[in-house]
Amino acid sequence: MSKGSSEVSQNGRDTASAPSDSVFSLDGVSLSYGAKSALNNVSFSLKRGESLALIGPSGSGKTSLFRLCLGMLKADEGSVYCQQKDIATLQPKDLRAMRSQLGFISQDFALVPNLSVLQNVLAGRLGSRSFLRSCRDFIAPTRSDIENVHSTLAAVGIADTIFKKVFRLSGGEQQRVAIARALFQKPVALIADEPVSSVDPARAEATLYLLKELSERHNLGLLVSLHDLELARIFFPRLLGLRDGSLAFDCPTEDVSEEMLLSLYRIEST
Amino acid sequence: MSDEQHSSGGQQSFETPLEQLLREKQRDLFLSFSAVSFVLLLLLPWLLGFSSESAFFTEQRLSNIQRFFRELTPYPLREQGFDFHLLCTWVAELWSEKGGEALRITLAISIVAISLAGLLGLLAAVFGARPLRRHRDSQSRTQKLVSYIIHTVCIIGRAIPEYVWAFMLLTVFGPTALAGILALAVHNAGILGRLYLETIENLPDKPLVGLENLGARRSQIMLWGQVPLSMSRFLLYFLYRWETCVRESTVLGLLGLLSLGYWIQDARARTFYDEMFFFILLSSLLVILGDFLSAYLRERLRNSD
Amino acid sequence: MGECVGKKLEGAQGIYSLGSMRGILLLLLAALLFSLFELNQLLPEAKSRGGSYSIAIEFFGRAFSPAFSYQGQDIPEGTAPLLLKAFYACIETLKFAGAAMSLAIPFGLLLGFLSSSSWWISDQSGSGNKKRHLFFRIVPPACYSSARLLAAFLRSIHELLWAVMLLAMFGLSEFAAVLAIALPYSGTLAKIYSEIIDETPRNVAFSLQGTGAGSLQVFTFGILPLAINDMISYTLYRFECAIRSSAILGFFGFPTLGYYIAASFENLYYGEVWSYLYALLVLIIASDFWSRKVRSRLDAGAYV
Repeated sequence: MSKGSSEVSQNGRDTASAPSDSVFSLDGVSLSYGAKSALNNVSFSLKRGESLALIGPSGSGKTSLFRLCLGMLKADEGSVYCQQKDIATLQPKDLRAMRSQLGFISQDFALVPNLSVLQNVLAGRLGSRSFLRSCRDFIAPTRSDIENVHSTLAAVGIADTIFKKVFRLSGGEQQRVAIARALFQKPVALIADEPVSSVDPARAEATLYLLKELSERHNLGLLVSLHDLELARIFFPRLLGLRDGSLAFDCPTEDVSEEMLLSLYRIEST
Repeated sequence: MSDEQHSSGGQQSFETPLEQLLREKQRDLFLSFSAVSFVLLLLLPWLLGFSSESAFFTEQRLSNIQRFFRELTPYPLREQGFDFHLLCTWVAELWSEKGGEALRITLAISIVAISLAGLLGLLAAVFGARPLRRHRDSQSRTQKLVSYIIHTVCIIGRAIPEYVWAFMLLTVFGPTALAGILALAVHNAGILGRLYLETIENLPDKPLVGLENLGARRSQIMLWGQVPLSMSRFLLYFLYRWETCVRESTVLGLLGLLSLGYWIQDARARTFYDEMFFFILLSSLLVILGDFLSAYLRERLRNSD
Repeated sequence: MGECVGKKLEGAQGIYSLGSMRGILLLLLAALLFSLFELNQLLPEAKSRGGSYSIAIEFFGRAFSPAFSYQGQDIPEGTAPLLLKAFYACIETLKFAGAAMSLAIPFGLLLGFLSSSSWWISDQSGSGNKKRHLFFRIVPPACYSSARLLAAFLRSIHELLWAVMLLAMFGLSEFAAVLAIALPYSGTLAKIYSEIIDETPRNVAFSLQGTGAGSLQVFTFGILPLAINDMISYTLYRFECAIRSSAILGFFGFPTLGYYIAASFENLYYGEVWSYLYALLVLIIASDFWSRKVRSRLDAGAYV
């Protein structure tokens, strides 16, 4: 956990580029898949309690960015810091510990359909349990575990689905299960990949409201990628614009002008 | 209330609902019963023991095993030790006299049998498939009867192993290739018929209903809609069953047909275990090659979709 | 009508893009013609040899009147009635099948996991150390290839041929029969298990990896639960096949249904043959019904 002013990380690298209370920060990160460049010199940081919306057209590199933050991809240039530690220097065990502190909600929820909600949410804690312990948790969860899951589910509003199989739930309920799973990790930040891209406006607002409320209540960082500019404007005080792998802007919402948004989404005409 | 007595200091307001949910959680009795009985099926045989078993690893057995491995080495090499040239001559001799022909016969039988099975399976699917979902209730009596008969025939074909069919047909009609092919074909037609029927019945309705709205009759829907849509699947199943056919046609030789199994049996009867092992390896090679070919063709099919 | 139909159906998964399918069908036809020609050449005399239609009619005629008691004259004192003997034969058949599966399933699981390319999920990022990376580059492909080869080899030899070898090795031993079924079946199970595992979608696994789970956990909780339904389904189907294999091993002298079928056939007691055949039918149909019911319950999401 971060403590106050910038620390020098384990291998002596100066981490002044990582703000002191940031959950994670990227510094000059570039990534390419073979010849194709996915991210180009991207830098930003996220603090606890801060909410940030990532907007940009499809293919602008949002998913790659998320995978970098989780340490699932290695940056070609630049560094990714999570809680002031450079990801690239982490041993596998510490890498897993770092990941367990980040709650990621993927676009397709990535739940196991034929397991119950309880088991899916418990899976959030796999990162901090040993293998044998997690086997026992799955087959015969303890009473306190069940109660913890129940209260987490209550926080997202679907407490009574706890024993149902996931494939029986509606899309909205499944999304909440995914959010509950991320919450169950007791993370320092929530990262959501396009949580409202294919849902109707009413549900989209409800979901974003829920995410904001959770992040405020537990003082989590919140990073969400969105298509809808209006929603981004309403719910998020800070916007990050990504286009073709480069950061177009990173500023408070009120400073974002129409022109900036238009240029973000403009279609190149040849 | 007992629920409140169980509350462990947490808020009582959701203790009761959780207890309620726990109570309502159903365990499927059938699945539990099935799981237990399956485990029993696996364990009981060992507990009940086998009749002619004393100690498995007796002196006699070990010397049997040693003798077997000694006799496994090819005849010409037994005295001289390992000589590659002798080995090759021996192999070449076996191949040209018996192995090569038997291999071709095995392969040929498998291909003819699976083709016949595929054709029969196709017919079964075409005539036995239930009509489009919309019309399920208004099926005519004869249609239902035909469908029922086809289903039953498929089940009987499937349930009786190929070897038993072969035994029956070869004894009754004499050891002809036709009888062997029929035996394999009947069993595999049952399997393919059932698989094909399921494929057709699981097709998406939309394109077929579209055809119907154009005015197509049921037979036309079948010909222009259901069959082409399922063809790729049919071929996948067909190739998958062909692999098994190759194995089975090898073994038909044990009953008198001139496939590889015949020479295996022949060598065993004369206790020439080296020859026997050679032919077994040959059949294994054939099956593995067929496996590769089938896998390759199936990949092509899957990717072309 | 043809063009309308064609256009209408094009929306449905491009069924008219036969392309490679056409090629395969042609290959099939060529193979068929070639085989017929070969058979004609190599087995000309075999086309009409022995047997007669009267035997066939007599045999198949008795299908509708299976025997309920012995057909022979001299039955030794104290022999169980026919139906009871058929029942005992069924039990023996199940015994061999169960014992074989109890060996085939664990070995098949082991071999299957080793043969699947996803068992060796290794973390791409993080520093790690050189030795660990080297380990992951050499050991997995070696294990993977040898496991696949072993499974293919085990699979390629029919149960009866394994029985022939094992009987020559061990003499008349019932354990040989169990092994004769278990060995090829572990190969088959291994192949199917590895295919099922390789074909499960990876999104859950990646997601769990993102929460910090270790490789073993990712596999057990992110891939296995998605694959388990298909694996159970196929295992039950294999058990049904094991019943059949166990029955035909009776032709080699083991006390399963095949033995009695062969014996009654030799004595020309066709009624008895049909009795045993019907007993086998009942076993198979019951097993098939059971496995379908289990599958449908699993799909409906019931708890065990």
